Amino acid sequence: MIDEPSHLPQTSQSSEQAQPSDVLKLYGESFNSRLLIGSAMYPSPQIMQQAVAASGAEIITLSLRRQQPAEQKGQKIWEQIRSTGCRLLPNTAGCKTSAEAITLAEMSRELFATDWLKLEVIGDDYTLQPDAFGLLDAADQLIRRGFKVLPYCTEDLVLCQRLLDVGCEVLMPWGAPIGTGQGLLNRYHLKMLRERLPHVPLIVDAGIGAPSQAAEALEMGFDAVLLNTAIAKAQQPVVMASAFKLAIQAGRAAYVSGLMHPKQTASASTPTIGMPFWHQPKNS
Amino acid sequence: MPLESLESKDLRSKDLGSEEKVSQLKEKVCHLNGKAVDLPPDGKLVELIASQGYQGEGFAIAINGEFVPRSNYASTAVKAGDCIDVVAPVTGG
Repeated sequence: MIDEPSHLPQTSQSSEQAQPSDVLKLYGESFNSRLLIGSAMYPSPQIMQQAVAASGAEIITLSLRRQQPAEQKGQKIWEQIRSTGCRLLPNTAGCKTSAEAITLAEMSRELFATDWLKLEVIGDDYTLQPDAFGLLDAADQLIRRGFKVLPYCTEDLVLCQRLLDVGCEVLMPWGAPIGTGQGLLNRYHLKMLRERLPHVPLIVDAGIGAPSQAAEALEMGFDAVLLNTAIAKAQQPVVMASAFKLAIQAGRAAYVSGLMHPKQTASASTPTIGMPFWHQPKNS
Repeated sequence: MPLESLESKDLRSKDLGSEEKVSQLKEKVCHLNGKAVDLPPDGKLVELIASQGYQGEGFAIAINGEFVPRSNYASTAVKAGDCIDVVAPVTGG
């Protein structure tokens, strides 16, 4: 028996004009946008800022890397990202062990003054597939230290359940390997994940290459999408950001509205009753 | 004399001349973001980062993979061979 999703918006039956209240809730905070956006790889900081504004995103990812004192880039980048007004979501990109991720998380919390964390523990360089074991261990320890962990994970149902067991309130399964733009590669498992975890905010993170793929994720019932490359590397990132915003709104509206079930055979839309020429002898 | 890397073959053979000198110098250096630097006279982290030009609060530090809170910079000792990471914000996905 599958539970009804609790994250569907509450609608009023008393008025046809009533609009559903449809906010995304993550760790007790409400967001109007269902697009989380990355800050990397844009042609310029200005285009990054314009693209973020066009996307409507309210959460933005960023990271930490070694810096020589003469560079002084970090402060400028931080100010540019902060000026978007988005909630900061630092990541632990590139970490390959639980210990590395925990240390980088602590550094992020001090520097960015937030306990929100996109937790990445990478297990394979070729696919950038998360290391399930390191991820679970890091999530467990970080939640004990007060972090609000948004784990970048696979669509593996058991891993996702274990991440919930240690206290994650949000899960971010990949659609496809980072930067590939291949969309939702494993629809069966993603659908199963949505069905089996109906009350958990699920964000498809990574692999989304086109607005139609983002719309599909929302139509399937995923709560949001996190992406970077598809917008940042578009020929016109600002326009693409707008396209993703619209697609995600469309996908969500479609899911909330209730999609029809596919059928195997044709079914006429136009009424057949009153069809002219019916049973009329044909003149030959 | 700049110490880019004490593991460098050139440094061992040309600049110092003996393994003994390399060993002695190793006792006086740590590694900051992968680069060999001299230990500060008083051996404290706060002095080391100041001597390397880090100013303000736009960075965070770990020593040997362990996070060091900013409030501990003045009391944290840096030892020979320590690996210090100083990180700052970058864009990310």
